[in-house]
Amino acid sequence: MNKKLLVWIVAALAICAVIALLILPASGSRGSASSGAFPASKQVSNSELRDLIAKGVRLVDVRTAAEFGGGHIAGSENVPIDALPTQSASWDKTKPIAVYCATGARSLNAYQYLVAQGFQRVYDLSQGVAAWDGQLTRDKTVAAPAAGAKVATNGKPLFIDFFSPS
Amino acid sequence: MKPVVDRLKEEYAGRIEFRRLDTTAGDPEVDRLANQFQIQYVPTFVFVNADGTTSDLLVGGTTETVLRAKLNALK
Repeated sequence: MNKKLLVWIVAALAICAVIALLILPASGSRGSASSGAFPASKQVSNSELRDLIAKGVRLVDVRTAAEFGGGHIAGSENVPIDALPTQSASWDKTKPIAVYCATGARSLNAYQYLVAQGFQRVYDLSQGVAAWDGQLTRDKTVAAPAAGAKVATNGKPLFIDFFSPS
Repeated sequence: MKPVVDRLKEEYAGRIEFRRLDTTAGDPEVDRLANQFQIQYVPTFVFVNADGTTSDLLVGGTTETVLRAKLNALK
């Protein structure tokens, strides 16, 4: 009698195990569906970053606040590299993050740091905004005073190119 | 961006004034304009209408198509 009971218990456990094996992978893939479309962590080009932005990646500008204010990729948040360890401590490590800076040096450090911290999908814009071929957004609060000020012209429309020789 | 700007300058000659301003030159007039537009990153392109009002401002590298569209919008 006890043996029969034991057989039934083992059979029930086996059935439960089979059911669990069938259900768990399915629920697991459902749980990560939002990040399933994202590739593994890597350095990315401009076009790859655009794809990631379209998919909803968290976009982090690791330059200084002044640099960020001067112009940044639309949709990005500013977390200067020095503040990254503190700020990122509360971030969800399963959510994809893309980092960028001016030339790719600071963002590479940020990328390596985030990967080392266990963030699952991290992307680094390899050449930074210096090579970004899209537009940069400027904070309206920064641009506002300039927009209201007039510039002396010679009666014709004027195009000003502020540049640096280096 | 210089070749693109030079090409556009030639194309819009007589209709739009082009000024290329070196932010590192130490020129007081350039510094004054750079402060006015709060330039913190180069290149920055400013589009000014004939009446002196700012039409648009672009920060960072951009495409010739975008620049041309902004230039064409100037009054």
